[in-house]
Amino acid sequence: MVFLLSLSFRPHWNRRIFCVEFRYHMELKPYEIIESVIAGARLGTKVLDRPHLAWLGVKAAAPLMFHREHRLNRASRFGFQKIGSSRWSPGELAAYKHDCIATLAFFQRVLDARDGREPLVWLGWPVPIEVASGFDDVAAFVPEAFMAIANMVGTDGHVACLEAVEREGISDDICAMDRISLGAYLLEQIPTPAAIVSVAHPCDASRTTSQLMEYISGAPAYTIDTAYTKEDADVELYSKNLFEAIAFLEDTLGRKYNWDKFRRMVVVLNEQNRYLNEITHMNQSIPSAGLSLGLQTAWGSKITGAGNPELVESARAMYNVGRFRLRYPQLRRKVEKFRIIVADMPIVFSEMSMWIEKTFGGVVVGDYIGDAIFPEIDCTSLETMMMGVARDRLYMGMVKQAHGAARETVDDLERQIEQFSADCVIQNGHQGCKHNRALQRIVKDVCRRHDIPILIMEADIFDKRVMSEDEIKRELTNFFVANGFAS
Amino acid sequence: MTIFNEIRQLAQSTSNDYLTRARHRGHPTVGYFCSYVPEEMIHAAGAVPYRMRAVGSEGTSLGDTYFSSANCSFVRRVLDKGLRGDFDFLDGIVFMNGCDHNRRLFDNWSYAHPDTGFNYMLFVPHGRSEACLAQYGNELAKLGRFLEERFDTELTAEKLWNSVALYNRKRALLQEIADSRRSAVVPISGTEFLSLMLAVSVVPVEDAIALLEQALAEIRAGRIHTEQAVLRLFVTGSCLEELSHLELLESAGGVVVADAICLGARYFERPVQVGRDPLAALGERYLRNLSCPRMMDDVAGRIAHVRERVSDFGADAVILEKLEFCSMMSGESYISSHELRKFDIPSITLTRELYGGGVGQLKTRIQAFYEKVINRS
Amino acid sequence: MIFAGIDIGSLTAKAVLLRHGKVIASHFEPVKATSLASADHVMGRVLAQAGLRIEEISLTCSTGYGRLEIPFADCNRSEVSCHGLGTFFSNKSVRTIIDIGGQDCKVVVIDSHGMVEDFVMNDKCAAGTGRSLEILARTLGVELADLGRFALRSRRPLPVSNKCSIFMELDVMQLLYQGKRRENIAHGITVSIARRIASLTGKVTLQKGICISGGVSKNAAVVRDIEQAIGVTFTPLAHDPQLMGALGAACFAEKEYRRRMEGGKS
Repeated sequence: MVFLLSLSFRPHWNRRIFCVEFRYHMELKPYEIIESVIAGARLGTKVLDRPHLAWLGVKAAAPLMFHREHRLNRASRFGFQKIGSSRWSPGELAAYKHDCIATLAFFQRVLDARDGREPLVWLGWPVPIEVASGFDDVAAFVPEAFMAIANMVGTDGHVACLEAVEREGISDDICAMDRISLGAYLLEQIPTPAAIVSVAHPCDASRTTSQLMEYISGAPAYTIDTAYTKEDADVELYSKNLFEAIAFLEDTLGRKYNWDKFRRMVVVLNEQNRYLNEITHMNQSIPSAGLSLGLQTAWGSKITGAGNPELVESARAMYNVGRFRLRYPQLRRKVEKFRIIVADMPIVFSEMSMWIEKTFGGVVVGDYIGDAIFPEIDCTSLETMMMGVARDRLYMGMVKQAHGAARETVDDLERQIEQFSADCVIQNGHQGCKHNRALQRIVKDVCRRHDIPILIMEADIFDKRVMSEDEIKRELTNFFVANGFAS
Repeated sequence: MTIFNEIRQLAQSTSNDYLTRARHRGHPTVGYFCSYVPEEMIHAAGAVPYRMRAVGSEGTSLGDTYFSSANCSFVRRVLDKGLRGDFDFLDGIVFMNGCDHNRRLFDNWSYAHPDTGFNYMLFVPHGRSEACLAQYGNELAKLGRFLEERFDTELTAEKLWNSVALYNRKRALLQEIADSRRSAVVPISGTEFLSLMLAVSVVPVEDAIALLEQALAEIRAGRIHTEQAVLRLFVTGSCLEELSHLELLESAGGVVVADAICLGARYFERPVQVGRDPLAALGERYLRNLSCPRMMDDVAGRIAHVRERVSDFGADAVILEKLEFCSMMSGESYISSHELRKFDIPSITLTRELYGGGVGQLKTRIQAFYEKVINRS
Repeated sequence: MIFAGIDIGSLTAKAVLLRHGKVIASHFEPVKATSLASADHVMGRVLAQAGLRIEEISLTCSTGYGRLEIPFADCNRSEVSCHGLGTFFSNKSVRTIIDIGGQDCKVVVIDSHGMVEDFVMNDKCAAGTGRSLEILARTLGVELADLGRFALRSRRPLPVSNKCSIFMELDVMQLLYQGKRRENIAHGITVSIARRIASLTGKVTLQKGICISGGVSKNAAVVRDIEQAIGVTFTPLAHDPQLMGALGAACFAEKEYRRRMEGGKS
């Protein structure tokens, strides 16, 4: 049922599925990707309202969806993977419903902004979205969201964005995540912003793409500089810059920031963080609660929707799933044969953790973005709240590891290996991530010290052209077999 | 014998006699990366600043055990040299977060710990605003305290101003030599100028001044490189230290008359303004000097500088140099080429590996670009 | 007067003789161990074709990767300029040339005199060049000459990366492991190359009158797929498209001769 329904994830599905001639370029209509996401989120909101029925539907659709993308599932497989590739329980599906509601609200406002109902502000992905979403009548958008959502039209979606950038003559030395967002703009998938707030971290790709975005869109921009370290003074500096960014937006847009709304969002964020912290601890238990995919979703949702009460509902529902699993560990013990740390982001264009779990019994217990321990934000004043938001995002996955000295990455990996009792480490590879690629020797030595094997792949988590899903699976299989995790 | 022979020799060597003599006089050598590290502070602490380079690199095999194939050839070659012991004469290195490759060079260098003394990381903001300037000032103060402790000295205002005066003199001489290329009769080629830059950034400033005075005297005496270049070129971009690369550009019929590279105008343009507080003056000059693409809020300033110099020096075309895997220059070259096109200034982006191969294709690209520019005129 | 153009590429050596604006002899063959040996041999062949001696050539211009290593060449020009002028000579309506050679691909935009206005070349990666087609054909287990024929028999191209030739090869191997039909894989290869070329064409402003030259232009499947990928029909050329570089060099030889004559007068 869900399979049939999911076919309508995308408008014009029949054209895509039944066309026999080959498409040289995926020709995207303006805003087609966002419209697909909205259609998918709307469907998810309805279908996941009855999680047990949805669970049955997903199970029924699994044979057609699970193994690889093909003509029949191109338009719906990414959505299928986002809801756990038929491995999720009804409880997890129920949690995801709230993410669908938040996603729907977020993207609908972007389309409203396109139609001129309110100005649109672009934020670099590490910038706290509260900077813009605290305005009552401003739509906030994070172009880097396209790294994932472009796949909602099939994985040719992200390739279309990348090829648009290549045709424009922009070098592929820049991280594919940033190039996908640039490509999405070139392909008229994102409305032109009224203002941009960018940030000088975490990496060169962010820094150069911010300049490109400003140049291509012509929008006025404010760039937040960030200290190299994350000491208290550095967090304070970042927090001051966030206040300045808000003042810049007020001046540029001629609108007043709603500080009461900001306070409410921080309270909600605190609540969401409490659950995420707990879930992270649950993943550390043996057997693990197996909720890392949910934490990845929470990471993405936080970037695009921090402060949204639906995300608290999602986290709470996930937390309840975890509690149940810890109460009955024998259920997960059957599933979990070995434990994996992904010392990187997961493969974005095709979710692998559920495939690994099903095929080998390997459970991804932690990764850079699904390891969410956040301190409580002090809500006594606006200053302390802004400090808390600044700290929250400076310590968010990928920012934490990518920005600053190597020890940010190395300490994190050592801690994860110990706290999550990992049996092996996988680094997927990310061609544009120069700082991460520069640490391969140090990371290997960390694993050697802990006497666990590591696989460093030459894939690009955002670009299937570098290493296809099949090749990645083959390399993972070889690694698991060679190290005795599978036969 | 022309002074340019000695300069060329210095440019092609990792170490030199000037450094050895300075060491015997009690002046240690401190390496540094990038144009945002104030040499004056190292000099005032009694050391000789040495601009790190990959000159004489034999490959990347040792560097590759730390870096990946997606990292730039500059850091892989420099680390490789470090691991081979080429920089063992150094007493320390000041690194800088110039780019992702460079900041990881500090991490890998600290991890591999070749015998090159201390490793210090100077954090430089990515903007030029007042807030960034204040942050940079704090970082310079930290560097100052580190150098004081390390060399058991005090960085007094007097010492710093004395160093500023010497380095300003060095800059002024370089500026005068660079300016001599405005005329139709070009006294010094781009390759010779780069070798001059390479030489004077690895000898004590006092010796550098003496070398530059001799070079300038030779130019004033009527030195001629070429009387009528086929094309006058402006070069900008990321790290460029290979004389062979500029020779490639110039042997095809062009002559480099001006630049905006680290081993060029970014080094000597704009003196430090003498005022009340030497650290503030240094901060102002170094952070707000001609910027590199890592500075996020000055792309318009960089392009304006290129246009101004192209016009001043009568350049026919702009070469945008980019090292493979340099993300920062990837964005910059896109913006620059589009902006320059608006002003009818032809440009080409040349992507290369430092001391790398692919010369055949580069030659074709360069020659074709020259032919295209000549067709226009 | 007779003018010679000689193009020493990475895979083939080509030579053309021009007399009174007409091609009187042309030849191409695989390159030899050195550029000089290739040049000597291919020049010998065209001279034999035309029944001429080297002394009868008024001026010789060289191009291609080996252009600087030919002692009997009086001048040299880049392949970009030579392909521009050569195709213009072959068809005056051409304004954009897509040249796919053994080691590189380039897109050249020319003016109404055949002179280069703009151009773009591929990066160092060989993906999309003759060399990569050769490797992929070998991986697929077919002759290079048959790759196009195979591809033309397919209606369903399989996905092959266009990112770099190594990735392409891995994809082809993966598809072979999966037991996919070789025709469909071959079609996937040609489509992938076409997409890469289409990306390259996006970096310049294409002018109407687009033609394709270079050795790969003889692969009918690649040509068809590029046409579809960029949505054009290629303008036909009056001469062998693989000879455009040498032909352009011969035209430049004539220009250079006239320039020298004029210079001599003044």
